[in-house]
Amino acid sequence: MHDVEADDGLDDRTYVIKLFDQHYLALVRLAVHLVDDQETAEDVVQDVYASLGNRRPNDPASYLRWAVVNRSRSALRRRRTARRTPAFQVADAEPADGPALRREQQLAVLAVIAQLPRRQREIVVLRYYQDLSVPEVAAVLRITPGAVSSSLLRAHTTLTRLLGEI
Amino acid sequence: MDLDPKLESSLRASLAARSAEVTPESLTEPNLRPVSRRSIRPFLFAAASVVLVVLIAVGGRWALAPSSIRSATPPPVPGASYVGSKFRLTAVENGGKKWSIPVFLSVTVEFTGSREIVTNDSVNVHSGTFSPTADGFVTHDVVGTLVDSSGGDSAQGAAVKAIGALALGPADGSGGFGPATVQAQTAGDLLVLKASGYTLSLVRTGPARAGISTGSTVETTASSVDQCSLPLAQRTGGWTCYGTPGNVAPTTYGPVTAWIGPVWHLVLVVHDGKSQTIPASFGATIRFTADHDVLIDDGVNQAYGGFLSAPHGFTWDPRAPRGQSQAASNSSSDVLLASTTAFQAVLIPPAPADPPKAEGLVQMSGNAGRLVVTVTGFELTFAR
Repeated sequence: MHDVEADDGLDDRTYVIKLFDQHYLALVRLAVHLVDDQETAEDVVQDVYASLGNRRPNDPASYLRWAVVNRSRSALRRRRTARRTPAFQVADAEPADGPALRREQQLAVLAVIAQLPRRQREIVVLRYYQDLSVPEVAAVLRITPGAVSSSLLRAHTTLTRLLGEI
Repeated sequence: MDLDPKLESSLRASLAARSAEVTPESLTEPNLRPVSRRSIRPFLFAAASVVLVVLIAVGGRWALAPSSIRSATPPPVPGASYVGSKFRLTAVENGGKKWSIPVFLSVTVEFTGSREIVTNDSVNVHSGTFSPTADGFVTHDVVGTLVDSSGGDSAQGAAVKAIGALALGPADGSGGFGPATVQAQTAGDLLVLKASGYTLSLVRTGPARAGISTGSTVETTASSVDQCSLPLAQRTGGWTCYGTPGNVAPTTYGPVTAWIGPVWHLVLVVHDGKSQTIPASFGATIRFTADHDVLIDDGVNQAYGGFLSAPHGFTWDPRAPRGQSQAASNSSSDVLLASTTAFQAVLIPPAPADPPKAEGLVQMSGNAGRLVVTVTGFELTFAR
């Protein structure tokens, strides 16, 4: 992610628009893993930008990621997305030829990720989707690397147990 | 423990595939919102504060006025302007602190024409009745869901506490609450409520839902096998009984919202004269959300749909999307068979070729800590 320069003389609104253009799609793609459906994901990310106000974070990309994770938790608390959980879309899968089977497997994987406890889910998404290292995940979630590692270990155990045959 | 490389690869591919579905073309809001909610909030709060100040000033002048003037003024008509309406909480004040309540939390209070009050604090739903008083109302018989609300941010925490003060009132010293004595003042579409030290500013959003009270106290009916009425030693496994030890508390559900919120664990299936106990640890559950979603897990698969409240139960909402996963299981245990067939027959939407069954009434009954779902020859008993 290339960020707008912190002191490039932009007014607040222009600064936010620049950040929006640079990161919006990527952040929605991140949020969709945390809240299950795209509509809520977009809402979460829009709220993040709305909350920026005149704030100029030192590391906008990292700040935005953290804010998206945080707001996704709030969205999950509102529990308005459960009906769109990917696991439930399996019923729409095509007959089991190659691509459809792969799709079904992917949906099964996503369903298991969705069932992980909230923190484990966040860590798995940041680790395997955002490809962040353990210290980087810890920085985004503002927890210790040790806590990330132990949660990741538990997530691995669950994923292996539930998805071992895939 | 490292992840198996094949599994890790599958994990990364699945996440990437899901993300790839989010394309610039698929975005429903591709542009930055022109006026952010955040920028509106201070104005809403300011507006509510101004109204509050005006109301307090008017109230103060009223209190200081000679008694002859006061007696000449007709008494307020309690509840006249807010009954039948739904309001959204915009601000909370308590102990000198103020919180602006974000729109997205959707914290609401409804006053129905049948004198029922229904609150949604974004975590739990409460409902009960209210009686008008000289300057507001008193709540009675409030019941609600018991979802843990820890972890909310300060605004949400304030909303939860304020709505609790409004609906439940102060602790009564015996483990219960209430009644809540509430002062109410209205100004146009704005409503200010004061309860137990909390001041709640609300704005009218529309009429209260018709039929929110279906009348519908769901009566307690006896289960075919009422394990909780048996002595502990005679109960089959998997039961957790609530209320008076050894017996279910002899209460009935109030408004239908009483079973919304908690995860209900299937513990018994009765069908065709046979009963099968399901260990709670099996994980077969049903949950009704305040958003009218039904979420079902039969221990192997999950299903979802929307529900419509009806007297003594619910019907599937034909407008809401429905679906189910289709995982296979090699197990043929009696527990699994009972759980899956019961859920299939009762709750999972059948094929379109059988529409009457799809839209049929699913009957609900129960009492404290228990829920009994009955349809097409099956009886499913759930415990919290």
